[in-house]
Amino acid sequence: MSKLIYLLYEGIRNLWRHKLTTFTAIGSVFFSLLIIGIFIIVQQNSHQLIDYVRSEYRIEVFFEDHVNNEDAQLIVDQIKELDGVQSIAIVTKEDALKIYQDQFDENLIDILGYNPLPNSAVINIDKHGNSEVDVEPLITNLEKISNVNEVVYEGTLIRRVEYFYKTIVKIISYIAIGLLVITIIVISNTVKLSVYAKRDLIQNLKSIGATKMFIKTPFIIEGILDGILGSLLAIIVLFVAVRSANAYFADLFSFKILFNIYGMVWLMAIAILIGLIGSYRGIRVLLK
Amino acid sequence: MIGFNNVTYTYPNGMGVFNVHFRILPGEFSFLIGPSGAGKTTIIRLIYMDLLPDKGEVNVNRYSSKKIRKRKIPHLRRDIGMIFQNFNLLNDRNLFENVALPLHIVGYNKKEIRDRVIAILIEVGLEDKAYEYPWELSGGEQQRACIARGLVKDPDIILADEPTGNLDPSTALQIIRLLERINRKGTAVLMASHNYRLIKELGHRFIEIKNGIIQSR
Repeated sequence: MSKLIYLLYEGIRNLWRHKLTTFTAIGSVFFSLLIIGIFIIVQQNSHQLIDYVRSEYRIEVFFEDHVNNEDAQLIVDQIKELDGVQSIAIVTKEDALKIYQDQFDENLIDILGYNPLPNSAVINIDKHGNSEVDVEPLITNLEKISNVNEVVYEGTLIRRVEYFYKTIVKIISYIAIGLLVITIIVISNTVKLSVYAKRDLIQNLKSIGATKMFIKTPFIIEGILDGILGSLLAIIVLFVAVRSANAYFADLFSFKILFNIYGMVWLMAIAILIGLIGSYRGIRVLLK
Repeated sequence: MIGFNNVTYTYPNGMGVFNVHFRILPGEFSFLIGPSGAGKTTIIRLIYMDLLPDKGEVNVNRYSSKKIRKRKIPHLRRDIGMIFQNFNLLNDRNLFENVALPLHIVGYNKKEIRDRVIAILIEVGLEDKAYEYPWELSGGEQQRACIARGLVKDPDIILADEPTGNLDPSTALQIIRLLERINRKGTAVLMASHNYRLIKELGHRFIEIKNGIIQSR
């Protein structure tokens, strides 16, 4: 037990003893995870942004002129059953007249002597999580319903937004995977080199009868601590940056940048694992 | 205690030790002498099984180079106190911590470690330097610290590889006197040296080696 406590204590003290290598290892963990953390935040917030844009997607369905309010309600009930419809609101002839008057400051009845506007409905489309939204099948189904005169939607815009989002998500994922691989290699090699710099100490310990486990344990603890401290530093910087950005832009946008703590916990877990693997690889070579 | 039975070890460049045969008994004080490159360090490394012979057998206490398992080598080294020409103290920890290290390896508790380290530092005359770092000490003091570290676990054998090589003649003689004092308490000492003039009058056994071959024992 006293040996285990000694080895744990040695691992912690080594951080201070080997200041330069500790600084290098923590620095490389910090910078690599800071970049990966930024990508995680961008990726998480791109979902939020696209949800906001998608909530603005509208399909307007205009009914034939002869369709009265009761018939309009029946058609709306029919539309509700279609795939891809999240909600639907009926806009009666009277509502439409009022909207027209609000927008153009003109009373059509005074001008024409009757209300020419038809009954209509506004559809909010259903969004299937992160997958691409395709409105075309819904439009085809709507056009098939009898007494539907016209379906108005911003098809080109929706297609462009969806294509752009799909491309961005793909690029971010590729960059994040690439960065993760580079980070694993860089951190692992930094920790490995920091162990290699202490080869004299290891030879010394071997000559006075230290077992492999006795030599390895403090180095592995040191590697794990490098990972914890480097990632903690990166998480703190990211957290402060997100909070400051939210406070700074609060008056300009209603959009708030999300900071998902689970993503950061993963980040730390990766750093700990890399620190452990790096130090284990380094020490294994020297103990052969 | 230590037995070399027709031991040969050859480095890739063809140098090494050839057909070495000698014995060292418990409590004996011996010098291993020869010029630089004669094979003294190779013999020392064969004793603490940092090298294993190509031919023949090395026996140290109950361990044989033919039968020992790799994981048992640290246990063999715990019976040996190692002293090096370059002291090999760890510069990032103080004298107390350096001397305590072999005891931590064996798993002594805190109180035992404190008692033993203080006792051994008194024995080598470094009790007032316990919390100084190696780089704050003179060469002679560093070598005495190295002896303290070798001695603290109460070994059967002290192996000293050119322990006076970096010291002036007067300090070198003090170190040898310290090793003699340790030897009188029953610990076998094998000291490698190329400085024949320093040790010839001391009256101990000589094992002479030249070009990897034992000349006299």
